[in-house]
Amino acid sequence: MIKKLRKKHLQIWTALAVLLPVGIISAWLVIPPAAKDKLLQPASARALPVILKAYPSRVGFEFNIRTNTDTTQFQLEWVNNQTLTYPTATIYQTQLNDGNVQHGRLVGRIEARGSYYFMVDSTFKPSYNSTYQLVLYDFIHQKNMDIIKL
Amino acid sequence: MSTMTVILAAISLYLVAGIIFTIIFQLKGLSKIDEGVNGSGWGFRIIIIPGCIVFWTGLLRKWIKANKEIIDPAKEHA
Amino acid sequence: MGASYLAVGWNRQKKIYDWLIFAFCVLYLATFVVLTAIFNPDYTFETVLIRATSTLAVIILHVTLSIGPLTRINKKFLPLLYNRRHLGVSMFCIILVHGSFSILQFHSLGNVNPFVSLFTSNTHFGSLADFPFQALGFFALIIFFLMAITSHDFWLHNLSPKVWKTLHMFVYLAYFLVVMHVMLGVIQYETNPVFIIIMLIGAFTLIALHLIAGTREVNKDDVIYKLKQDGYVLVCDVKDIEEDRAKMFCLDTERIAVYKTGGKLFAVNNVCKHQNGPLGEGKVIDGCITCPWHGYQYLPQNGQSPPPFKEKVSTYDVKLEGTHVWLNPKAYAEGTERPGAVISVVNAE
Ligand code: HEM
Ligand code: FES
Repeated sequence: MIKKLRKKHLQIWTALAVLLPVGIISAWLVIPPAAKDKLLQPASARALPVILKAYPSRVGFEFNIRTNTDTTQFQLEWVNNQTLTYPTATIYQTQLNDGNVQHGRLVGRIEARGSYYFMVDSTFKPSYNSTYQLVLYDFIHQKNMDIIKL
Repeated sequence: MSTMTVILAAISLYLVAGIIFTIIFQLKGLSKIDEGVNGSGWGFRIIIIPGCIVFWTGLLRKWIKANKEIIDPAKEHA
Repeated sequence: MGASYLAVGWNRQKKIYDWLIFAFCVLYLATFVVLTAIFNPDYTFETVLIRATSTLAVIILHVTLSIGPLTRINKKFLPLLYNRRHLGVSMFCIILVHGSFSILQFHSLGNVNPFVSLFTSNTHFGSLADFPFQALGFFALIIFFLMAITSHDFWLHNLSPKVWKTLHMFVYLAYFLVVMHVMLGVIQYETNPVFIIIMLIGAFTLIALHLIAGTREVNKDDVIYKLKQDGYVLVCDVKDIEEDRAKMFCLDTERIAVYKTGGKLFAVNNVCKHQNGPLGEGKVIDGCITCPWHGYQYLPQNGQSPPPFKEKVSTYDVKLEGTHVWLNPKAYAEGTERPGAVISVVNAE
C-alpha cells in the first residue's frame, strides 16, 4: 500500500466508525413495537390447549385464538392450509379501521406454508366489541393482503 | 414506472453493445493492448469476458490508442 | 508482468486455501439446510436457499474485510491475504444466489419486469422503517459484481491501478449497504435482538481492527527523522535489521525498505509493482527480495525482477558510519544498480 492509500483507508474507517453504529442503532430504534413474542417464528412453539375462538377460514389460511386452562395466556394460532401466493408476510394488530401497520404492533412473521404460534396479550381476547383487527402485510411489496376484525 | 424502464433499456443496450464488442475484441484486439495476453490460455480469456462486456468502453479506448502507436512508427519510416 | 496471464496462478498453497473455502461453504450450507429441514420443515426450498446463502456471504464478507488489518497487526495472518481475492469472488458467487432467488421469489410473479418491480414495489425512500431495503442489497451486489469480474490482474493493468484501487475501495460502501440491507430488512420483522447483536459485534470488530491497524501505519509514516547530513538521514542502527529482512522508513512521500543481506545493506522503494504490497515486510529468498503479498521478486542491488519478469522499483543510496545506518531519500531511476553499504565486522558488533 502507498502512503496516500493508507491515509484514505483510515479516513474511510473513521467515517464508518460513526456511520455504522448510527445506521445500526437508528434501524434498531425504528423496529416496530412487538405485541408480545420476542422470538418471531418460534420454531418449537406448541399450541395452548384451549381454543377460545376459531375465526372463519379465509382464502389460503385460517387462525384461532388459543389459551391455557386458566385463561392467563393467549396465543394466536396461524395455519396456512394452502401455499400462499406471497412467500412471506407479517401479522400486525392495529386499531379497528386503521389499516396502517406502522400504527400497529407486530405480532409475528409467517412463511408461505405451515402453522405458526405467537404468544399474544389479553387485547387479543375475542369479544364482539373488540376494537382491534389483524392485518396481514406483505412487507416486501408493502401491501396489506388481508384485514380481519378480532 | 417509465423512468425505470428507460434506465433498464439503456443499461441493456450498453451491455448488448458490450457483448458484440467482446466477441470482436477477443478475436482481434486483446493481444494488442497487453503483451501479457500472448501465450495465455483459454481459462484466462474466459475469465475476463464479463469484465470486457462491462468495461468495453475503456478497452476500446486502449485498443484505439494501441493501434495508433503501431501505425505511427510505420509512418515515420515511410 | 513479463510472463503471460494464467486464469488462476494456482500453486499448492492456493489450492489448499481454495479447498478450505469450498469445504467451509459446503459444510455451512449443508448444516443450514439440514437444521431447517428438522426445525422448520414447512419452509420452501427457495426460502432456505435465500437465507443460507445470505448468512454465509455475510460471514465471508466479515472475514475478508478483517484480513487486511489483521496482517498489519500480526504477520501470522499473511497466508490469508495471499489469496484473498478468491474469498471475495466466492462470496460474490454465493450472494448472487441469494440475490437471484430473492428476485425470483419476490418479484417474478407479477407482469412487471422483476428489476422494475424491485425498485417500484417500495418507494418509501424518505422513511427509515419502511426503507426499500432490497435496493440497498441490489447496489451492494452490483459493487461485488464489479469487483469480482475485475479481480484478475489483467484488469489491474488495463483499468490502470488507480481506477482499480478506487473501484475495489467501494467494498467499504458495499459493506455499509449490506449492514443496512439487513438492519432495515429482516431485522425489522425479527424482534429477537440476537441478530442485531451479531451485526453490531461484526461491525465493531471490523471498525476496531481497521482503526488500530490504520493509526499504527499512519503513525509510522509520520515519524520524523531529525539527524540529517549531506542529503543523508540517520534512520537506525545496523543491529535493528535482521539478516535477509528489512526495516522501512518514510522519509519523504513514500516508504523505503532497507534490506540486510549477504553482509550488505541495500535500499529499494517499498512499493511492489504488482499491487503495491510492502516489499520491506517480505524477506530475501534465493537472493531476491520477495513481496509478502503475492511473491513478486526483485534483486536488492538494482530493484529489478529477475527475467522473464520486467518489473523494476527505484533504488536508493545507503551508507554506514560505525553502526549507524544513513539513508538518502533521493530516488534513482527504477532498476538502477547501487553498490549498497558493506557491513564490516566492526559495524556488526
Ligand atoms: C439483488 C440483490 C438483493 C436482493 C433482491 C435481496 C433481497 C433480500 C430479501 C427479500 C431478504 C429478506 C428475505 C427473507 O427474510 O425472507 C433479504 C435478506 C437478507 N439479505 Fe439480501 N438481497 C440482495 C442482496 C444482498 C447482499 C449483496 C447481501 C450481503 C452480502 C445480502 C444479505 C442479506 C442477509 C444477511 C439477509 C438476512 C437473512 C435472510 O433473510 O436471508 N443481500 N435479502
Ligand atoms: S503486491 Fe502482489 S506481489 Fe507484491
